[in-house]
Amino acid sequence: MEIEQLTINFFSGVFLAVFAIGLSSNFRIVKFLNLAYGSFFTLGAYVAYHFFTKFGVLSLVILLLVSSLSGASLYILMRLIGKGILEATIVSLGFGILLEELLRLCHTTGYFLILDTPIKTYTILGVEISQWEVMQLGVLMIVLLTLTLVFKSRYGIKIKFIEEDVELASMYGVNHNFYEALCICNTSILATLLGFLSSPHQAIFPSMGWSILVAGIIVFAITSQFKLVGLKHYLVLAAVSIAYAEVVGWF
Amino acid sequence: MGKAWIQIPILAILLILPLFTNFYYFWLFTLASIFASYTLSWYLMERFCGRTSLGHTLPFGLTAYLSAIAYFFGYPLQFLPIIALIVALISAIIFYITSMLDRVKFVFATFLYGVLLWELAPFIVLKKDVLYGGEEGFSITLLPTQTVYVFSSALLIVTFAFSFILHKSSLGLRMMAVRDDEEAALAIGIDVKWIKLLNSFLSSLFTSFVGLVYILHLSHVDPDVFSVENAIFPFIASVFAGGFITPVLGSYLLIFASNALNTISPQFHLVLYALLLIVSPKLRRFSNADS
Repeated sequence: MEIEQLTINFFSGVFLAVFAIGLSSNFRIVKFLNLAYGSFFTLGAYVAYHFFTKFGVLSLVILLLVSSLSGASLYILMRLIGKGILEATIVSLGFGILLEELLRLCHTTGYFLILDTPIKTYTILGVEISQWEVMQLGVLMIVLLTLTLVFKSRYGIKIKFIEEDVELASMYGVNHNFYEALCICNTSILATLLGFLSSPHQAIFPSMGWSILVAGIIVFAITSQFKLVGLKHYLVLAAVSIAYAEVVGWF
Repeated sequence: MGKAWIQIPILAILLILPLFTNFYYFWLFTLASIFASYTLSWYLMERFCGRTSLGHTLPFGLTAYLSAIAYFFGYPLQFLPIIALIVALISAIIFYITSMLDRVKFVFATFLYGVLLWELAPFIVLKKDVLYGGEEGFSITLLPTQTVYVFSSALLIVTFAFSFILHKSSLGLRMMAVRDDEEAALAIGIDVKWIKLLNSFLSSLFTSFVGLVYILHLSHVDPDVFSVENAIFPFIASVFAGGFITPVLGSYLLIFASNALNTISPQFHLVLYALLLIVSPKLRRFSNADS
């Protein structure tokens, strides 16, 4: 395989790694497969489409508000309706479809939308990489660094405890509800941010999140076979995502 | 499971009613009967083996897709049931292998199949004089709606009767024993693997034939046959669990409600599907407690 192709696939892998880390932490901490995660990604792209050209970097504030609200809504719905992993997953699927359909209903004038914004590019190993893709690499670094700091702190042991046995953790006084709500909100922000950063590269349409969701589930399923906990799991997940993108290519 | 004397007349009314309607409603009733058979076929796996599949678009959509492709290559319509049978066998094997996972992972895995097929189907492009397939999909010859209605009604009656008889039979009891506790079923001498394989095959077989009638009715198939909308349809249509007539009624209601909602805005019915899916755990708990 040519070096150019490897570089392109590497950046696809970085994108997938950020997505899969959020999806995986939802499963490990909140104990459900967040099937609305692809829709959060789509939501981020639509926020970029409507607000980036008008407000520039300030549109990230809108993104933060919209994504936190969506994440909190999903968490409340799950607490009210979904008991157990399967029910919570079904609720998230319904929430994801609802989000997607609301976006579609609000954009009946055009199915495929294009964010028209100048893209600055850098040449890395003979391949032109846009600043948005480089920013995705930056996001991955920040996410991994944050996870390292969290798992090294006194909160890390609590999160590991919740990951391994949530009932035992709550018996020992760990407020798992707090960590679950925080996890859903943070990962929602992460998914929408990823959608925001991907928006200049692809057509924006309501069902754009499904393919990345499928790829995310596959790399998460592969990584789960290693049965790792804590930071190690997320590091291996990032590596598997990049390896997956190198083998499969774009997804 | 309810009494036969209530369920059979309801089914009869549903099947006779379209004969007294105009062409448009006749067409819609035919579609509803197809989806009712689809839900019942799915319900065979859910009710008898306790496996909630979100991937029944595999036998349903694949039969429709491959039938259209076979027609494209000049195979006669009479050949299409063989395709349904082959797809049923392949799907049964896939479902059986997946059923070795626990119940939660089974849901995730089957969901993954469906979405993967949905993503891959647009890449199926065939060349004759011009290119066919892709996002546009494939077409077959248009059959008279009356003919399709005979097929769809017959399939619904067979699926319904089979489910009913299976529920009363010793095989059905063995399936439900496996559903309730696999280890206990094994301990009393039930061949759990065989029962799972048989259940997967029966559910896939009926679903494949539903897929065949679906393509005959619409005479066109595109990648959206594998969509999440079709994958979740039987799940939400059977949200009020009970006798075998409840999923049938649920399917008819959903098809007619979808049709009414789509007059407000195209695809507006998906909002209803999403809302039903969100509240489905509550509704299921409620209907299970009631029954």
